[in-house]
Amino acid sequence: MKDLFPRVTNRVFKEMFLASPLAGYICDKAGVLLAYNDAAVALWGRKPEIGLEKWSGASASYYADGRPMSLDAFPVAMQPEAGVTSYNEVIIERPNGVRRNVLVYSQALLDEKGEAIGSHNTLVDITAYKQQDSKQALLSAIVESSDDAIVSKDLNGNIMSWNAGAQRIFGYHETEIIGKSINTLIPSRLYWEEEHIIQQVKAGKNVDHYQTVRLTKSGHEIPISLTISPMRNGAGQIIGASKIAREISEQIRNEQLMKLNARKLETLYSIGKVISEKLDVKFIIQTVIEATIRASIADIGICCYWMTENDGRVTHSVAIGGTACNGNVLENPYRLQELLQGVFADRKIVRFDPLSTNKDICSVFNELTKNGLPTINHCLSAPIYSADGELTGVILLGYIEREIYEGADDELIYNIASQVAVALENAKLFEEVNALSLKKNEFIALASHELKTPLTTIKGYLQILERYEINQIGQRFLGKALKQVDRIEALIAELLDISRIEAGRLDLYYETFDISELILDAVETFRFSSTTHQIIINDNQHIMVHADKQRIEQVLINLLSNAIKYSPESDKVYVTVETSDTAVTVKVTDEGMGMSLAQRGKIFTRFFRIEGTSKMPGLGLGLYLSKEIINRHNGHIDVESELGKGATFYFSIPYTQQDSDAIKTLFD
Amino acid sequence: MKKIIHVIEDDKAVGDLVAFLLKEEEYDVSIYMNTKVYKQQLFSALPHLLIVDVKLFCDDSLEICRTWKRNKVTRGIPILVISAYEGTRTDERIVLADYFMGKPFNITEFLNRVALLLS
Repeated sequence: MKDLFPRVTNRVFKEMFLASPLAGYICDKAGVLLAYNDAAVALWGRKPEIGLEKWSGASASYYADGRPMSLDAFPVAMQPEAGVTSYNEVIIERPNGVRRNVLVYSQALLDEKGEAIGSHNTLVDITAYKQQDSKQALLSAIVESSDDAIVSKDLNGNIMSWNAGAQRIFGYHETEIIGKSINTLIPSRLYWEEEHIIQQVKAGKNVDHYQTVRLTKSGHEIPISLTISPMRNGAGQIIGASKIAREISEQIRNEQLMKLNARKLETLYSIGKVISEKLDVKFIIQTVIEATIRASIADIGICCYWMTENDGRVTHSVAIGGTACNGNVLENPYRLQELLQGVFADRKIVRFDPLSTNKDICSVFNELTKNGLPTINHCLSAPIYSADGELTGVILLGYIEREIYEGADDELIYNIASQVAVALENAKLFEEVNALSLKKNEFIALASHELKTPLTTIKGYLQILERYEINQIGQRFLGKALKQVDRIEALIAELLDISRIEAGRLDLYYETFDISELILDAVETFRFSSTTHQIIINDNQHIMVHADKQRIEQVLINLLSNAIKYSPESDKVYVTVETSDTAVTVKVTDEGMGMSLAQRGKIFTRFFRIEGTSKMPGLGLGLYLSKEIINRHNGHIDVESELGKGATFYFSIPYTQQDSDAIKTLFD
Repeated sequence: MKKIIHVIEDDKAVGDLVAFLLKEEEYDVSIYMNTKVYKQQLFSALPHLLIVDVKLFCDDSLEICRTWKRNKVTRGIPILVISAYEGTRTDERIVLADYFMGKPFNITEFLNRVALLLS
């Protein structure tokens, strides 16, 4: 260099100055511009007049913070001591208003004696750098002010940056966590997640809204939603990942709350439905306990209900549900009843927490969770009161986990218990009514049978008398008496049939027989007993049916006797038999008083008598019985009639009964 | 020789009626109040026909039908069941019996049936 330097002439320096990419200019001691290069012209955006302008060639100047700067304050004018280069950041403005950030390097020019004769100045344009800087600052500000945790990590999973949101959510300060592994935040059981995430990132893929769980500094697990994107360097290579983690505890809590509320409504609704539809104690308490368990997320539930029978015995109904019982049963509900006497006082809900504090209740649950089921640690109980304020049952809910137990809604469970109380009260009344109805049916059956025995004797002796030689008057009265005996007999038979239908015990005895023959037989008996009417049968073939012969005969006799009874002005009754592919239809037509549409609608109901016919004998049960019998044969019975124009009663029964045993079982 | 008929009937009036009817027809008739009494007094010869009254909630008559129909000696003796309870027509008592007759019955039918069972 030493050899080289002397050869460098002034011309070389001058050319270097003029061609330099850096803006440079020279001033004299007074600041007057003496020379400048093309780079300076480009930066200033103008060509200042040499020898006139001072200190700077820019249109205007400002301090770095934007305040206007007077020309005298321009760094070149503030020349430092000789030999010292000053550099200051200023903003210069071009004639077109564009501002550029520049660093001003100003150095004194000295003569041979060392006296300052001027300055040479260099301007470095740092606008691009400054812009980058402010963008960075903006980004930083955004990141810092975000509520979400924004974290970056390298491809080894080491944390590179950490914002205030991350500190708020995870609890670690930036200084504690940077450089540490991201696994610090991941529960060990979820380490596999990170491996998967890194794979995705390395492949350049994003992971969006991934819901998972992370660990805070205090060791709590919190639900978060993660969005992870690969980070690239200027050359486009993936160097790490940015993670945005949003805490979703609140969101999850809200979701859970919504689900819970929905479940509560569903529970109350389903219980309401049960109450209105069913009156069966066992069914009610089973449905209620299952719904309550669902609504209160209990592991096990017991609904026990007791009532005192008329004879003073106490009967218990118990329903158990939940995953923690596995079919085990409560062996001694009476003990449970005893244990709970006085527990509630005037409280709505009693909590046994921990359950071990009450050995007795504890043993009740242990009995249910025997054979290796998890132990119930917490219990919540609600009383069921009868209408007269007696404790008549209880709902017990057992929990394994404290957290879930604490979340159980007292109000809901108490409301359920109250609803159950109403439902059970209704069920009790219903059962009582049923029992009374059963007693009534039993009584009718018994009374009817008891009547039959003396009737046997009366009828027997009257018939014996008939065989003796008695005078004409005696014979006539005997005939009348026997006719009345037959009527009593018929009435008793009707009563018995009704009690059988009520009890669902009208048994059918199927056999295959010729229905035409049955019709002929029935009509024959009327020819003897009824002298008023002629019964006309249409010609018919043998028609075999599978049915209860006695019952079908009963229907036929009922229709025939009605036809005669209700057509006193007429003297003919017609019987017609029609056949189709599957069924036989028997029609009985009279020329009697007929009936209106309204009467037709009611004719097959129990105890129905057409007005003005009260003098006619009968209980109003005949057609009701006939309808039951035909229905039981899967047949059809109806009437066609107009008032004053006679009536046609008809019934159809299928030739055969499809799987008649099955049908029978269904009804019995 | 008169045909022997044993009747188990707890209603005295009906028992009297049946006894009268059957005696009229020249049968040798004995009436017993219930199966217990019948079994105690059954020293004499077996009957040619047994008439049993059946009650709804009483298994005695069922038992006698069953025993007799399973026993080689008594199997051939016809049993006529009379009852105010028609019950289910598939009742074992009725199935085991040779004939069932509901109360009140027609005396002509009754006597015809008795004659038929004895022939």
